[in-house]
Amino acid sequence: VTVDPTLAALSDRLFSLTVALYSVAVLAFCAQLAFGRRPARSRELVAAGPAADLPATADTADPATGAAGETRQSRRWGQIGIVVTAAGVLTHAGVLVTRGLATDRLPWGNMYEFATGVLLVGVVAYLVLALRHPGLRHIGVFVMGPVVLALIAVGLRLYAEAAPLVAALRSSWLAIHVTAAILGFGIFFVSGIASILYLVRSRAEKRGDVGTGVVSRLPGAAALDRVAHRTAVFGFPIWTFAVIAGAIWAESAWGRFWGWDPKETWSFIAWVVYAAYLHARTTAGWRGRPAAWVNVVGLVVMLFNLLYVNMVSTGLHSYAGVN
Amino acid sequence: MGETLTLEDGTEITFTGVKEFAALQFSHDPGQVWVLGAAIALLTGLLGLLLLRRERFFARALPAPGSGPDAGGTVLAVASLTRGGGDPAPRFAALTAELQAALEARAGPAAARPVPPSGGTAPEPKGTEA
Repeated sequence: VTVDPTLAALSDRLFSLTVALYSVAVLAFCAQLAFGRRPARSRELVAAGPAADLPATADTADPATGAAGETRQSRRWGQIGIVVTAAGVLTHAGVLVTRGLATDRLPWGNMYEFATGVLLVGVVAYLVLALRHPGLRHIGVFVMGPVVLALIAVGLRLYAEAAPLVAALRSSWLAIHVTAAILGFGIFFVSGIASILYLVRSRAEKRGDVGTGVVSRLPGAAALDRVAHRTAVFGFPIWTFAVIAGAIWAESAWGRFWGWDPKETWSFIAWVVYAAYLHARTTAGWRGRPAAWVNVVGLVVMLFNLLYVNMVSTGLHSYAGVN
Repeated sequence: MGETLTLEDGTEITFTGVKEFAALQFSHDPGQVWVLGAAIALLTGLLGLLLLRRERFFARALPAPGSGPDAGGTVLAVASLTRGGGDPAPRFAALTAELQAALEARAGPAAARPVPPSGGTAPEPKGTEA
């Protein structure tokens, strides 16, 4: 199997272009927050919100206040951010497509490609949410900021030359197991960020004063909580499937479906944490902030599972290609 | 075979031969088919749990309290308890509107009037009472 050097170089160039485009999008989202002066009126609306526990009232109020308290300039910056992000998604997808074409295989054979794929799924998930609920554009900088930093870190620390797959990965289960893992992780990424923002926002709302700073420009706590929950609900079955497919692949490749390999163990821990989050969110006494903390712990476990388990611990999932 | 290489520090390396080997692993787990079945059942159940809407509607018909023009009528209280499947409020509003339309069709527009909820508490914050 040979590698097409032209396409591989194009993939690397697209990677840089993606980072550049996302950085521009972050700037636009910053400008959106900076120019989004809220009229005092909407502060009263939010402060009157002990009823925010009721989804019925919060549903109509929150995205509406997010949009109503927006100046025209701010809205335009938000739209620019969305358009530039969408352009970045195209080049980001191009990174993986050209890599796949250059090496004639699925472009998730090492940690660089895996992480690039996860971030692509995260950005696409955010973009879909932002297009469906315009009020959520305001979290753009908090999604795209970490994405830019993560992409830079991925490019600098995890980069692996385009190369054929290592022998252990040459199986059709790669398409099933790893694809599901990338999808689940990318969606959990957005879910975790929404929960972090929810924790910040709900603390301000509980104080009864969201102020005039950045926090006041976030979507309402109830809306953020709903985004976190919906994305987790979407990601959880995918993650479950990824673990099950991994077990089936493990059975056919290593002769056992579960061997407490570090990656298996931590995937299971992440699964338990996300199951706990979904339960906590509908359990009295855990609903709201405690549940959101569980979701944040879930994201931390996912990141630990990617970074620590791949790069530091020894196990059967050592395909990182990082030395 | 027999080739020799001298490294910079004087170490001599001779290729003396090759031994072929194979690592074989036999495993038998009679339970794993059951595990697969359980995993599929788990995933199916999970999808049903998360994607299907489980909705309970409660309706309670009570004689209208007090005197005046309302006396002798019936108050129909409707409530719902929803799990999974997103936001129940629009569906509930549609249901009550449909119910009211049906009542009006049977008894005439003057007879069926919405009455604001009278201090009833929903069994769950998620439930909406009207």
